[in-house]
Amino acid sequence: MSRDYSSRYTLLGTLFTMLAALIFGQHVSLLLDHQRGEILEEVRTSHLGSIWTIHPPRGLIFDRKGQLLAGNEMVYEVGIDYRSIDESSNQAHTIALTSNVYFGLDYYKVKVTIENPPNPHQVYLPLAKGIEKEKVDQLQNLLAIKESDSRLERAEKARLAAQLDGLVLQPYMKRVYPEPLLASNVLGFVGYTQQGLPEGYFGVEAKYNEMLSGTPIRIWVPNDPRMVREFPPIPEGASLILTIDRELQAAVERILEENIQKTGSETGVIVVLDPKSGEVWAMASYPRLDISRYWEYETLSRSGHFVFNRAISAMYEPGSVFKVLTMAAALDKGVVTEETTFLDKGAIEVGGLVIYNWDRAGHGKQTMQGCMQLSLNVCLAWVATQLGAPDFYAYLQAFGIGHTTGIDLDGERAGILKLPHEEYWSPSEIGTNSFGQGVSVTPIQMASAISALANEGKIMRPHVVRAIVKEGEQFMISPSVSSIPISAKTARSLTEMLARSLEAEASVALVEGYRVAGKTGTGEIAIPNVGYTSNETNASFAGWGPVDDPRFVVYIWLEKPSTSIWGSEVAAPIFPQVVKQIALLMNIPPDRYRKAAQ
Amino acid sequence: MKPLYRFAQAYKITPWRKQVSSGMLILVGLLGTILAASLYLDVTARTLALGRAILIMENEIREVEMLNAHLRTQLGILTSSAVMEKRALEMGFRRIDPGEATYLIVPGYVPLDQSLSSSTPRKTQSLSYTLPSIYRQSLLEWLKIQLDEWMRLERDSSP
Repeated sequence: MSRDYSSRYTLLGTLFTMLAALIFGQHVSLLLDHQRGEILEEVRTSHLGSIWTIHPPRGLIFDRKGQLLAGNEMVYEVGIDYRSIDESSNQAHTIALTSNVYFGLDYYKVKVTIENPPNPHQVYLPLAKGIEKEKVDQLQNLLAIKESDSRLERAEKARLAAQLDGLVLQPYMKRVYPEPLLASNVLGFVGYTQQGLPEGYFGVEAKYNEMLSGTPIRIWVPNDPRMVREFPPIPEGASLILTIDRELQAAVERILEENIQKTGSETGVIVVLDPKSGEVWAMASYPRLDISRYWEYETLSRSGHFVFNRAISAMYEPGSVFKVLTMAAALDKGVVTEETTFLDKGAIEVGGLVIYNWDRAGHGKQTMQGCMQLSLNVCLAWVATQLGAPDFYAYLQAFGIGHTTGIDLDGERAGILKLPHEEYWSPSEIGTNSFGQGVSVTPIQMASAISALANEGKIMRPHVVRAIVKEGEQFMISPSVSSIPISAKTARSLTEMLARSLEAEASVALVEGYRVAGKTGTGEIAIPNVGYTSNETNASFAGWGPVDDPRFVVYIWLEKPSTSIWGSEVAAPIFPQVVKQIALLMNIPPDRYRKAAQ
Repeated sequence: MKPLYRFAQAYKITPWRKQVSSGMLILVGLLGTILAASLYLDVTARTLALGRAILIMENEIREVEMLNAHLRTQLGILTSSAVMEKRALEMGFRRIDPGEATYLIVPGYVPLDQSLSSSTPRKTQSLSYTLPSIYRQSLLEWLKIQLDEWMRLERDSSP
C-alpha cells in the first residue's frame, strides 16, 4: 500500500508546501508594501462594517422670553436605490409618476435617471432634497394598510409598495425660522457647504456656528448584527437665548419701515440696548433679507447697496450726534464746564480749514449747553482744539471709535478713525471730527459709545446672546465692562445738559411721562470727486432715559432721507415712538409711578 | 463469576453487537453535536435578530427625535409674533396705545425674570445597560460565565 500511494502523498505534500509558501510570500510582500497592505486592510474593514457620521440636531435660538426664533424642521431627501430596481418590471414608471404627483418632480427626468444610472456601479442617487414632511406623510398614508381595507385594497397597496421599493425617503433636519424676516439681520442664516454640511452665515448663526451645530459623532456600525451595540447618546448642539425681545424687535422693525417710507430714506437702522448690561433688546436694519430664501443674498449683495446687518457693518459719517462724545471728553478732562461760554462768530479756522455752522450764521455768546442745543460746529471745533489732539483722540478711542465693539455677531466692522500719527491725518481733522465729519462709525459703535453717558461713564460690551443652553444646563452670559471713558459725574452732568436742551427747544423727541436726553445728528455725505453735499445726509438721533436712572439707549440712523435732510425733522420723531414701545414691552413705568414706587 | 465472564466475553466478540455498540456511540455523539449546534444556532439567531432590532430602534429613535424637533418648531410657528397678532385681532383685540396703559403701584412686587426658557432641551437619558447581558452573549460565553459562577459558588460553599 505504501508503495502504491507514496507518490500521491508526495504530490499532496508538495502542494501544501507550495500553498504555505505562497501564503508566507504574500504575507511578506504585504509587510513590505505598506500601501497595498493598507488598501487591502480598507477592503477588509469595509466588508466588516461602515462608519456612520451622525450630525446632532442644530441648537435652537430663542428670544429673551423663550419664544422660538430658529428651529429645525424634518424634511426628506428623495433618492433612488438602484439595487432594488428591477429593470424588467414597471418600477421606473411607478416611481417617476409617484415622485411627480407627490413631490412635484419632473416625471421624464426621474424616469430617465432610473433607467440610465450615471454608471453601472451606481448604488444610490439623490433626486431631490428638502421635500416637506406633509408630502411624504401623504404618500405613506396611501401605502399604509388599514384594518378597514378590503383584501383587494391590501393586495393593491402591497403591490404598489413593492413597485416603489427603489424609492428611498431619507429624513434629515433643516433649519427653519418661524418668522423669516423678524430679526433676520441678528440671526443670520444656515447655508450648506460644498460637502453638503450645514454652516451658519452672518449673525449669531455664524458667530456661534460651532456651538449650535454640536459635535458630529462617528460610529462604527458592523455588518455582523451580532456585533451591533447601542449608539452612544448624541447631544444636540447648544441652544441660544438671545437678549432680543421678539415683540419689541417686531415693533421697532415696523416703526423703522414706516418711517423709511414716510421720509423717503434709502436705508435705516434702529438699535435699542440696555446701557447697564450691554444687552441689545432690538436691532432693526432696513433693508433686510428673508432668511428662508437666503440664496437671494448673493443677488442682493451684487446690487452693491445691500448690507446684511447695517447696524454692525455699515459705516457712515455720523454728523452732529458725535458732538456728544466731544463734549463728554472736554467736560471729563475739565477743559470746559457747563458754565464755560464761547463767542460764536459763525466760523473758525482749524488746521487751515475754515469751519462754519450748519446755518452759516454766528450765534453770539453761548454756554456749553447752548452750543449743544443749537448744535454749533464752530463751538465744538473750538472745544476740541481746547482739548488738544492727543486727548481728543484718546477719548474717542476709549469711547470705542475706530475699533469693533466686540458684539457677538458675525461681520462687525471697525469704522475709520484717523489718528494724529497716521499718514492721512491732517490738523484740520480735529475740527471736522469734533462734529462727526471725516470719521466713520457703525450704528452699534455709536449706540455703545453713547451708552457710557447712560451708565455712569461705563461702556458695557454690547451682546445679543443672554444664555447658552447645553445638555439641559443654562449658562448665563455675564455682562462685562468694555471701557470707562468718562467719570460718572461727567456722564450725569452731560445727560442733564442734553435733557434740558431737548426740553428747552420743545423737541419732537420728548416722550410724555418720561424724562429723556438726546442729540440729533445730520452728517453730510461725501461723494467721490465732488466732495460733501448737503443734499444727501445721514440723519440720526441718539437718546436715552429715564434721565435719573437710564434703562435704555436708542440709536436711530436714516440714510439719505428725501423729505428733509435734518436729523431733527426725520430721525428725532422716531425716538418717542420707539420709547413708548420699550416702556410698554420692557415694563418701564412712567417716571412719576416709578418714583412713587421707590 | 465464570458464566458472567463468559457472557460478557460472548457479548463482546459477537460482531453485530460490536457494530450496534459503535453505531450507538456515533449516534450519541452526533445527537450531542446536533443539540449543541441547535442551541448555538438558536442563541445566535436571537442575537442576530436583536442586533437588527437595535439598528432599527436606533433609526426610530433618530426619527422620533427629528419629529419632536419638527413639532417644537411647528409650535414656534403657530405662536409666532405675526400669527399671534393676527389671531388676537380676529378675536376682537386691538393693539394698545402706550398712552392708554394704566400703572398700579403694588408694594413689594418684584417682576419675574423671564430669562429662563421653558422650551430648552432636556437631558437625554442613556439607555445603556437596559439590554440584559444574556442577549449579548454567544453560547460559549454564556457557558463560560455559568461555569465560572458554578465554580465560584463551589469555592464559597466549601469549608
